[in-house]
Amino acid sequence: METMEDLLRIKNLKVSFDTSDGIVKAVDGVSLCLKKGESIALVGESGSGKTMLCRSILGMVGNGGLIEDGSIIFDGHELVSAGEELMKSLRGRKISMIFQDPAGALDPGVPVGDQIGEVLEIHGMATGKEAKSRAMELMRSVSIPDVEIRYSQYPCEFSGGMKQRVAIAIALAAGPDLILADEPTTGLDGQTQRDILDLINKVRQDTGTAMIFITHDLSIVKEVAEDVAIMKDGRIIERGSADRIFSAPEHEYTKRLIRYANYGKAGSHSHTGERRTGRNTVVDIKGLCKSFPLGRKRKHTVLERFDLTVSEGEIVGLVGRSGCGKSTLAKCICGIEKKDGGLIDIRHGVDIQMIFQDTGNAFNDRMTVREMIGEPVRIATGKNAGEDEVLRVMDEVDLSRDLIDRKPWELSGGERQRVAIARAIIRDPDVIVADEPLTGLDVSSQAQIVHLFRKLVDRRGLALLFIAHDIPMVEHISDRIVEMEGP
Amino acid sequence: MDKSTRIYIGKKLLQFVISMIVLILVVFVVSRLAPGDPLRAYYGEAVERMSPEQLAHAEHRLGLDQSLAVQFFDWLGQVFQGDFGISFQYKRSVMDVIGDVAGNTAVLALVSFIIISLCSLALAIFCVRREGKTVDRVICKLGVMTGSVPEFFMAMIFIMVFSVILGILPQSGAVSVGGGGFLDRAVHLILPVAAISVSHIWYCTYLMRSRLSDEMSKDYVLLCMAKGLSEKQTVYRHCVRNITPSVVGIMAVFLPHLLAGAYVVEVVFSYPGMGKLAVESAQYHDYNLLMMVCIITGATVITVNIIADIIRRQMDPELKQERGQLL
Repeated sequence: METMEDLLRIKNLKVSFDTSDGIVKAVDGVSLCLKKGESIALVGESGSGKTMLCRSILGMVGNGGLIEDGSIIFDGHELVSAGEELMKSLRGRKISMIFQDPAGALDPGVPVGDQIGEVLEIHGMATGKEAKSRAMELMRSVSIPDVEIRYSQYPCEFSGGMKQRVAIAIALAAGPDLILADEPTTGLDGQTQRDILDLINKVRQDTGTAMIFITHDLSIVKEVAEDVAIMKDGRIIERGSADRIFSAPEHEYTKRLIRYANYGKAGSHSHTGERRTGRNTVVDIKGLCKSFPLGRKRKHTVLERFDLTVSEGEIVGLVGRSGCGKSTLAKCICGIEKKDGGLIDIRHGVDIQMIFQDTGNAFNDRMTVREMIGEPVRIATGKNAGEDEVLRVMDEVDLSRDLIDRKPWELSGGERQRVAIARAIIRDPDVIVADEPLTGLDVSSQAQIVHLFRKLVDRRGLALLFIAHDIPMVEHISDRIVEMEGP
Repeated sequence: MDKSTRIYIGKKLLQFVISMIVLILVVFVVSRLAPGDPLRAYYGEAVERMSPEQLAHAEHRLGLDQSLAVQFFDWLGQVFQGDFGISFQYKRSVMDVIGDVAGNTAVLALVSFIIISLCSLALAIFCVRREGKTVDRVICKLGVMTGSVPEFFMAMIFIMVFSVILGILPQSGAVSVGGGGFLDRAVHLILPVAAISVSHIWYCTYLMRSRLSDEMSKDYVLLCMAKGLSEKQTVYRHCVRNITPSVVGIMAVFLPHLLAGAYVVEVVFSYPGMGKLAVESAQYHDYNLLMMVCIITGATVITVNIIADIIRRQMDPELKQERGQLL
């Protein structure tokens, strides 16, 4: 019988959310089957309902969330109507979850080893010394070095990638039948991302656990799953084997996602053709040094003898792992940080604007779009920017005119980033320094933003220093890539 | 104890010494600058009948004719020999006067402190687990109401209800005439402790409640639930444990409020304690007594805060990683 083989059967699941703006349908009629040991990648952009789908399986839709309709059958149990006792016995034991943000997902006040051992204790699988030795074994299995020391350390003593390994060990602890991995590599830098993917694959092969792997990044799905389901607006719009989806996508949306995933790779269209070298240099950096004091005597060197030139009308992509000093460089160029030594030669009369990394926090919550975009004008001239001026740049960055009186939290991530760009160009700068402007955005928004940058550079002839850790997107638009090694 | 902890504690001790020096200096100067006549405190009405020579002699005897700096170092020298001077008003050693009543205040403050700490935390947990529900909202409103009533007024209401109308609890003093047993003292404590606690509990509860509420919206709470912990287990095993350092901090910052409250309540209840001494000594310009009351109070607050800092650092792994700044 087919039903016996199915580990998870979701039928016509509808989950809604009660927000201040009214009821939002997060999951709108999803059906999905998963056999034992099978893995599927659930691909979709933020707001597509993929996280809610996973939370529903765990019975953790949270406050305001409601499963309206449908059924979730896991291993013969109906989960939608299941009581809290049954769900508690399944969570962590039969179904476990790896969360997106490893920094926040671990309890900062408990040694990591105890957090792993806790799973065993909750489900009565081991206690005391046995739990400890089992937890150490698990830490070894996810390749955490020096387990004896690491066991009793706290999350703040672990790097992002190491924290994610701990989170994976927690998910594996009780030997679950199904692991839900919610964007487990998002926010990690390139190499760490690959390491974590390798680890997840190894775990899957060793334990034969079924997995639902949620991601917005199509470029990694082939590595983690045989099957792919594309989700959009709470529905699964296309499902098939990874090979089939990539070779013959049916849905228009899927095709678009695949196109974005190929950016920077052979076969994709490219904007880097018309190179304009030999123009005037606008920023010339020679032997730049910068370090930060650590305590009284030690210091942390971030930039050591760093050289870089940026010419008019050029996009320079600056890539490197997190912590290699990219943001510090940007701040030094803009004069926000003081350099320790070296030269930053900015050609006379050249005006520089910076776009910051986290648009969620870079804006004042009480200001409207009009005020935020007009702010540089007000600072420079003491007068408020004219509405036509604001509207002109809003048009230029393809921001709908209706948004002019919105507050930052009423905007999407992509819209906020456009506001940041509009604010940067309103004073007609010659150079824009953009510090990780794509972080936290969906691939579609990322693609739109990089194209917008390209358009602005071509139209206005300004220079762009584009800092990112996402190499493909940068390669897609940059005239030149500079890799930072770090000190 | 590892090296960084020893360094940290060393820094904190240095901080203590510096704070104490500043406190003593300020207290000394301010008490001397306060208007009033210390001779009147010492000699009472007799001052008005004294000749100028007698006045000069009296000033000299009490050291009041010297410059402020000389007075300060004289006084400091005596202090280091264990002589804190005499109370002008009581004509006894300051330490004897304070020693008679300090225990009363310590009991009153300590009992109130423990009750407020425990009740606030319990109330905060209770409210956060029911955040936004009717019972939480009712408690919040009630808390704002009780917290808005000043303790002296609260004390008067309590005296009115429990002593005057119901007649079940004593309205003043620390012991009954002829009494003094444990039960007798405990009965006398009930109303002052209640007045202090009721008017201060909400302040602490409110701070702890918002701290715990923040903690419960963190991502690790989801992971805890996903591990199979119930909401209750998550709250007690993880969230409450993580806010304990903050609770210690909140209570340390709260201590001066509590002491000030206790002093006021002591006056209303004619409870023999530091509060009564503080008010009287300020009223009668009893410098030595006033200074010692201020210094002991200040030293208590400084000591408790430094101990709290050390405890917090030991409890919080993230604080432990940071290097403490001296000031």
